[in-house]
Amino acid sequence: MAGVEQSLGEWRRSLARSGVLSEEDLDELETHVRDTIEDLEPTGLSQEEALLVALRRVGDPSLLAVEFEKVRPGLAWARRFYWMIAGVLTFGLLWQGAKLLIYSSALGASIVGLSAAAGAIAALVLALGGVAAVMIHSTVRPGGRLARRLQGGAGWLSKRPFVCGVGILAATGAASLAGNLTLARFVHFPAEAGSLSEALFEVALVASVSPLIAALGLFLLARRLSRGAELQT
Amino acid sequence: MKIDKELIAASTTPLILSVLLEGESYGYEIIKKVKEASGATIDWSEGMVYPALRRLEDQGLLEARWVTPESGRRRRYYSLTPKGRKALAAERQAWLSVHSTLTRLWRPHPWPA
Repeated sequence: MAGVEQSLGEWRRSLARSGVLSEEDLDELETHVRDTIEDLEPTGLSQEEALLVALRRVGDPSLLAVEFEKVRPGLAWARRFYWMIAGVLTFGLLWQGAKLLIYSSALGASIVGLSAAAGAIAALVLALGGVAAVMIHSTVRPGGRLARRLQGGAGWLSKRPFVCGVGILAATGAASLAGNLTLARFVHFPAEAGSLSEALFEVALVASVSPLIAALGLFLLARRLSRGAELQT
Repeated sequence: MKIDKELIAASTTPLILSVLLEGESYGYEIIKKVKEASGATIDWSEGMVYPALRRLEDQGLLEARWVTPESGRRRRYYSLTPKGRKALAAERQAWLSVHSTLTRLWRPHPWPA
């Protein structure tokens, strides 16, 4: 029996490695195999033999993964891609944060440190929102319960990707403009202007990349949700 | 008699939907019922039924829920949605029309040809 459990676990892991099957899919297939083994009991096969028959009937894991991939095209790659984005972003933002701390302490101007930090935090929130949106996009199933809950304005937004993008860009632009104006008004630029502008450049860079990611994430999510909405009707 | 792969693939949707006409069911049971009803001529590669179920669910033809019985395994039960019933009605028309066409064409011929 222990041998059967071990082989079943290995089979499950080999299916999971494809990255296309969800935990639910794996649970469902595993139950199927266990049901088959149970039904084979009266035939007098040993558990190990019954397992072999059951796995054979279910089919080759790699062929199975191909079929699941057809149902959810690109899902495996989308997931990997999203994790990559999330990793790069997190690293980048942490790095920026550390830099800002160094700059602000070196400049000694607390207002510079504060507004730069505020800009970086705004960018961080925006970017994480975008990453969260792409992550939800990768797990949400059109027509599923989560999709129904999130649908709301998604249909409207998905038909207007341009409005989404411009809206997000405009909001970030307005925020960074306001921040910069405040900065210019209250701060007398110190002698080390080079390092200050460098610091601002870094913030601007992060602040301009993050809305793009946020826009992409929201757009993808909205499109997927609206597909679910179409399925409902 | 072995049924051709492509014909099996084409009939997967109406077969699944037809089994669910009797009421909700789970993957293993659906496969078993089809095997019985076909006199074992329809021999699915069993695992392939699950992506098909997923596809039908995504298309809104099926609804799924997990059921955990007091004793026994947690299973995913599928049932027809109103859209699924409509799709099955259309499939039924199509298959009956293929069937009656073939029957009419074969009628004048003594069998086996």
